[in-house]
Amino acid sequence: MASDARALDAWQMLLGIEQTARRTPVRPAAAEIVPFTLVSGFLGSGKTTLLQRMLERPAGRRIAVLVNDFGAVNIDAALIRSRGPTVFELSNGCACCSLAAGLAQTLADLLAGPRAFDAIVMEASGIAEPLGILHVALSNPGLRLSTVVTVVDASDVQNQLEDARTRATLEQQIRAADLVILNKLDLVDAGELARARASVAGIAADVRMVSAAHGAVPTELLLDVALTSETGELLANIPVAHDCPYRSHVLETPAVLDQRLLCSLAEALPATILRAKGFVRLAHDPAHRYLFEVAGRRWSLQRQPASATYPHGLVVIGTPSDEDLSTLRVALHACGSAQSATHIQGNDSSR
Amino acid sequence: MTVRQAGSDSSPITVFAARSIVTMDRGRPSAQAVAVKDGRVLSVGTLASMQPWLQRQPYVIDDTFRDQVLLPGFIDPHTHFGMSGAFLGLHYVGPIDSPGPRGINPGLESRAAVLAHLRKLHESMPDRQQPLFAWGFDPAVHGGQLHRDELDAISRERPLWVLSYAPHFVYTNSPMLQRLGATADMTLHGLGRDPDGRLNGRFVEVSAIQFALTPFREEVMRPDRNEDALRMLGDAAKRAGVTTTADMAFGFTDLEKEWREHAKVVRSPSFPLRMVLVPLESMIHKQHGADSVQFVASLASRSDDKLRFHGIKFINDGSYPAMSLRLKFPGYLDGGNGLRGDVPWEELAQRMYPYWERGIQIHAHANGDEAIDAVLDALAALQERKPRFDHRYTIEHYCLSTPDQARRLKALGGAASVNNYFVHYRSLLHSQQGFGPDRAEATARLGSLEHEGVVFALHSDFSLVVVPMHPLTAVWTAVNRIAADGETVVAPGERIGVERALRAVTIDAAYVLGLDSELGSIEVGKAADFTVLAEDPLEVSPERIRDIDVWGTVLSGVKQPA
Repeated sequence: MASDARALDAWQMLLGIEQTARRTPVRPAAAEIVPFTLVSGFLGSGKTTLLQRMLERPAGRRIAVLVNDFGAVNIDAALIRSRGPTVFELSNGCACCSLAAGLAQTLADLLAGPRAFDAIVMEASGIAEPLGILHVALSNPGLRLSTVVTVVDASDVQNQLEDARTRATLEQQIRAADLVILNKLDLVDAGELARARASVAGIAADVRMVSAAHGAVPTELLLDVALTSETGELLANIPVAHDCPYRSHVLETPAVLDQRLLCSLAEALPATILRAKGFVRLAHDPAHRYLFEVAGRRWSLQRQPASATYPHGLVVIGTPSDEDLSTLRVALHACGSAQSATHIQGNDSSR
Repeated sequence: MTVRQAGSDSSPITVFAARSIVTMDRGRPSAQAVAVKDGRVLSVGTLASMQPWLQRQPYVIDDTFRDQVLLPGFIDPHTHFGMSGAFLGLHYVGPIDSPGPRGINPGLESRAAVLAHLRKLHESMPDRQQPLFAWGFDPAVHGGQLHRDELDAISRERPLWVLSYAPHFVYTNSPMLQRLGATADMTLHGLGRDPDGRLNGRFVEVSAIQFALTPFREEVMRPDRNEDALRMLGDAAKRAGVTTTADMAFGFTDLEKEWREHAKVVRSPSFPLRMVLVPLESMIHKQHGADSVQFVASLASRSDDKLRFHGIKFINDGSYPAMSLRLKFPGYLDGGNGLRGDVPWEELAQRMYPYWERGIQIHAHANGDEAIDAVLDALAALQERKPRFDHRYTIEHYCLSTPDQARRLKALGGAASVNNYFVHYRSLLHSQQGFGPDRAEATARLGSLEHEGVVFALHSDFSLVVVPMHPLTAVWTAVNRIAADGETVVAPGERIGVERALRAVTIDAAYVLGLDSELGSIEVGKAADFTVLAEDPLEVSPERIRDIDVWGTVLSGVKQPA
């Protein structure tokens, strides 16, 4: 039975990939690539509320939201709908029994149309396997992965993990997550929260967790982070939101970094760091800047066009202690490459 | 249309003699010989009964089927060949049996079996540069992750690419790594390495798999790929005894491109299948807007008897196995519900009306009972506006219905085309997940449709849902309603008889495609399309129907061994 379900997931994914491939032959310019966030979690975990809050506080982004079905959700969804033309229902109309093909088509249409958005957030259906959805969505070269968020009901997660009918799906959702939101904080006491955390950690050892009531999570944690203010200054020490504990910090990075050391560092960041982003130069290719991004345990390095201007430094977001920060500063410094900086050419705004 | 020369009495008659012929003509239900002329049935009966013809014209007797049973060529009236290309380029190496274009792919239970199978596939492919794509490797069953060196041991020349069963890993050999442009100094999260830093051919999790999917995407975009896929599917249909199928979402990506591919492949004399193309209304509407009906009507001029356009297709909810269909109270077990189609249900009749008025047959996908209500409401509104009799509005899939809906469908003059395979493959699963026992056990209420006198067909939706394209299995399922455990009979009152089930894959399937005057039974004037079986489904014990050997088919009088 379970293997039947997996075969279907695989077929759906392959179909979605094929449909995307047929519709998107050309890779767009780097500047046009849109960050994609996936929000998964069971019905009743609070996904919709989270999305609603995100739309109310978009952190300077114009967000296109794909939701499963307006009709099926509760009254809150009407509020999502009322936010205007950037909220889309992920419909099944052209899908011919395949959610994956429907997703491929919806994304292709969105990206081909007028760009009233600069980020896409998708609400996955409660029982969906995130990885399959991601493979389909990301097979579209117009998208890159921002964050995989899994919303979990802190007051019920242990039961859900013990229940054989829900365990497998929930495990998949947690393992796929860059960030787990332990929601419904208002319904649990400290002991229950600690047990919920332990349950989640038991599934994915160092997954980043954020606890919240009513989906109150800063949007910056869910989306791509804007690195510079309008005046070109790197954002530093600005509270992400005045009523929550997350902060952003800017750390200096060496002029040129050894990529292996940097990757090792990325995989060993303290759990208090939820996101990081910066432009760095790497020893094996010093003529280019690389966008270095961390979301939870997942990191990426993407080469950037040579001609643009880039700020220097690494922004990290989370709740790092002073000790975490100083350890991190030292570790970053140790990533510096012995390679000489003399052949690095201009277009470096802070040096 | 086949061009007939005036006074074509000179074209020879072929008389196929068979052990038995099941005609699906109630008046003349069985025979031992069928005479064929110009690809059509001239006479059915015995050599003795057709003497009035045979005395007047030259004929040859073909006794290839003397020990076989002939039926009208099976019709699967709802498939998606055009969307099935993705699965065909991938060879299956999974641990359990799984339906595929060649029938059921047997499971490979050990690592050694997987590697041996890959080696066999590799050795069967003459062009050593051509990449080999496979899927289904399961590290839990097959003893851990595959390593580049194991795949290199199979070939250091041919790029090999293996996707795991749950799609979390891609495994590659050295030539594929090279083709990917993957190098040891790359910085990619999830790029697998041995302890010494050497790439081990593994790609794990999102970023790395994205990177590793590129060759698969390129394979999908290869210019001849769709045509190769169509040919493969034609062969699969032949092996299942299918002689006609309808693609129920034509024009899903690019109608004209798909048309060119189909015209080239289907009209080739070696292609063993008639195809009916049913355009997808939402795509037509997107491209043609107010001119949609005009455009669809104009498609008829492209049709001939092997490849033709017919009707229009609307989609109104999701799918059964993906659990995205729409249900009435109380919804799914977890309190949720599925997805609706693109056209809001309140606007459906309005959107359908121009086709209704023009006489273009409407096919309305509805899997769950809430969606079935919506398409019945639309049909009622159409009838209210312009009453019609022989409109053949067909509800497609009709998986989770209620008996009163069958009655309403009858009253409104509609028909149903049902994916009843799920009764066997998934009804027990969905009693526990998604739909609950009441609805899951009563999947595909064919008994209710029969009781109310509604015409219905059976189809596989191949290959969008994980069931085989195999009409004998559809018949077996309809008659026995045995669930996946091999024992439980689900909703026994919804079983139907063998004869009725056979009609649903022959003459009644032709009916829902508007082709019952040309196909679906062995009668004078109809196409000489036959399914050739080793045994008669009406005579074997019912549990054995799906195991009957299929010799192949006859299309327009031409034999096509499987």
